[in-house]
Formats: sequence, C-alpha cells, structure tokens
Amino acid sequence: MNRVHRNAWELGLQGCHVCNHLESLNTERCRRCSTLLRARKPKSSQRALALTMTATMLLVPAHLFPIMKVQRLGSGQESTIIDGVIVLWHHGSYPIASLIFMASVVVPVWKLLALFWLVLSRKEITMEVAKKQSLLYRISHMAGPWSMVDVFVVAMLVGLVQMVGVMQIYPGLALVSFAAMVVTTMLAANAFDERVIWDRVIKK
Amino acid sequence: MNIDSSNEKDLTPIACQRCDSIVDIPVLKAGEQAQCPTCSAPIAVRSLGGAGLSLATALASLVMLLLACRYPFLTLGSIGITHEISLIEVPEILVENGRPVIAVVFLLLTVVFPSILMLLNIYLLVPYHFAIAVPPAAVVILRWSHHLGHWSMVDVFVISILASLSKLIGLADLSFGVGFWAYMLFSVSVLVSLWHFDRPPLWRWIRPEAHLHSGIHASTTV
Repeated sequence: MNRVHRNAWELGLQGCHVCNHLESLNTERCRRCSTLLRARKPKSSQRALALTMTATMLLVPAHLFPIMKVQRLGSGQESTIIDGVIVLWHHGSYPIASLIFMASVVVPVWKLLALFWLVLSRKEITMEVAKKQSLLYRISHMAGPWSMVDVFVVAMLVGLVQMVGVMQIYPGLALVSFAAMVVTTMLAANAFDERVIWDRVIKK
Repeated sequence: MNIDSSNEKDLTPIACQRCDSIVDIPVLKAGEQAQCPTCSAPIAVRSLGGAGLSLATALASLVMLLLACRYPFLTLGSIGITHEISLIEVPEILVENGRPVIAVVFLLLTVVFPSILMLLNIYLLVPYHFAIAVPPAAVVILRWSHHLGHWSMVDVFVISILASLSKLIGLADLSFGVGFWAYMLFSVSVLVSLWHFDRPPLWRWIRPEAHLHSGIHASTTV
C-alpha cells in the first residue's frame, strides 16, 4: 500500500477521541459529543511514564508478599504468586499453572517493558517500524484487563472456601498491590497517545 | 471481511484514532469491518445483528444478573460439611477478611460497571431501535458508555471463575447453583450485546446536524 500518510494534524484537523468526529484544530469542544478536544493527549509521555514507574514499583510487593493463606485443619500455609504456580504445576494442572503464570508474570512484565520502550523512544522511525510499535502498543493495551485473572481467582477462592474449622482461605497483602499494579498499568496505557508513535515517522 | 477505501464513500471522513491519518469510511454492509490503510487498525465495524440484537441481549443480561445475585452460586462439600455461597457474598467476605479495596474492585469490574454499561446502552437502544425521539442527555450517556467499555471485565472474570474452580475440584465436592449458570449467561449476553453495539450510527442519530455543518469534505483528503 503505497499511499501518502496524511495526518489530520498537518491538515489543521483533529479527530475526537470519543466519537471520532473530525473538527478543525482550533475547535475547543467536539460539536457532536461535547468532549474537550486535544490534538494529542496532554503530557501523554510524562503521565504514561509516571504511571508505568508506579506500576513497576507495585510489581515488587505483589511478588514478594503472600497472595493468600490457606488454613487447613488448624495449620496455615502462606503462598506467593510464584509458589501458587509451582504447586499447581506439581499437581499436574499445567493449563491453569500456565494461565496464572502468563497472567501474573509474563504479561505484566512484558507490558511494562513495552510501555517503557514506547514512552522513552524519541528517534525518528520508518513506516514499517511505526507499524510494529503500533501493534505492540495495541496488544499491550488489549492484554491489560487479562492480568486481573489472578486477582479474581484469589477473590473467588477466598469467597468460596469458607468452611470454618475445616478449610479457609485468607487474602494476602500481595493481592492489593497486584490489583493496584494492574489498574495503574491500564491507566498508563490509556495515558499514552498512540499517535505520538506515528508523529515520529520520517516524512519523505 | 476487510475493505480498504472503496468507491462508495460515507458522508464524513475521520481521523484514525491510532495514527491520525485521514480516512474515508466506505459504506459497510452488515458484518463488515473497515481497516485504516496506513496502520491497519480497525476504524469502523458494522455488526451483523444490529441494534435489535444488542438491545435484546442487553435486556437478557440484566435479568440474568438479578438471578446470579439472588440465587446460590456454588455449594462446596468436604468431610460432611457443606457450604453454600452466592456471588454477592464474595465481596462481603473480602471485607470481613480485611481487604475492602479488593472487594470494591471486584464488585465494580464484574458487576457494577457491566450492568451500568448495559443500562446506558438500553437507554439509548430502545428509542433508537423503535425510532422514537432522541432521549435527554443522550450525548453524555453515549460518551460514558464509550469510557466504561474498557473497564467492564466479564470475560476476564469468567475465565477466572473456571480457573478457581479447577483449583477447588481436587479439594472439595462442588455443585453449581442457579447463580453460577445465570452469571455465565449474563457474561455471554453482555459480550454479544457489546459486540453488536455500533456507536457511529448512534452518534449520527443523536447529532445529525454536526455532519452537515462540519465544513470538511472528503475531496480534500485523498
């Protein structure tokens, strides 16, 4: 597809990010949905960077502290996220172990690295690179909510397993930090303006 | 099915949300999707079922959610003790165990946001589908429906339920209640409803005049 990349900014136009309506750059509010218009999200890189760093810091307690405590016939056992994955693996539940491992380790770490890279890159790029970076951003944006799997699983286990005296499951501190990490990562991805990637494309 | 800029043009060009390039949206047939020629992001979708299906499944989802909250979710049995629980008790137990934050997050993402989203969509879809006048505050409602979309996590929650159940299967006897099946149907209805909820025609219906006076012509673009 060899067509010229003409963006709205160069033509003095901007698209509303809520309803996609096209307006001129000096319009303050979208005439269709009344959203405050910004040609690019204000301070998108700074906000995305700050939120990504917060999420990275939250990832540490999320993996160091126990995520849940299983109380079985009087004896309690605390486990971190990784402990849980190892136990599941030894029990032979490979699909579930892989799911939890992907959702709580691989996806968050990969997503944070991707965000850092996208936010911090400044150099001019070609069309092909822009396409790849754009795809990377889109995948990490879509994968965001799926990291919540671990939080929901523990929440359900705590809720369901409440047989006083026989077996009870208590939520650990890591659950809070992990949930906070997922939410801040999602906010970071939302704060980042994908169009900034395309602004760096070299104009021929 | 993908189409690039075809011969038939819609009334207005748009700026791609992903890469900011100006694209004319072709007139789509039901079930078709248009991609941005620059960054190949989907820029317009027209659903197969349309507003009628979206409305029907949204209404069904609310009924299912009521059942899911009202009836027991699961019964757990181990060494002679049985324990019955409903979905709405899960956040209560989380609060009792000193995790009110998780209880709030849980309740918002799995029950509150999806059901508000469905209510907002129903509010717009009823007059739209039956061709009645545009309801008051339609602009605000449709805007919020757009923002809530990313924060309703029924699909993630269903996978989590299945994962947590497979953890429990070895530990105790499980029997599913009406609430469990109702929540499964709730999530399917929400997903189908959102899948068939097309925003662009709704915007055109709410504010038709915005198109006539926009002063931007497709001919200036490509």
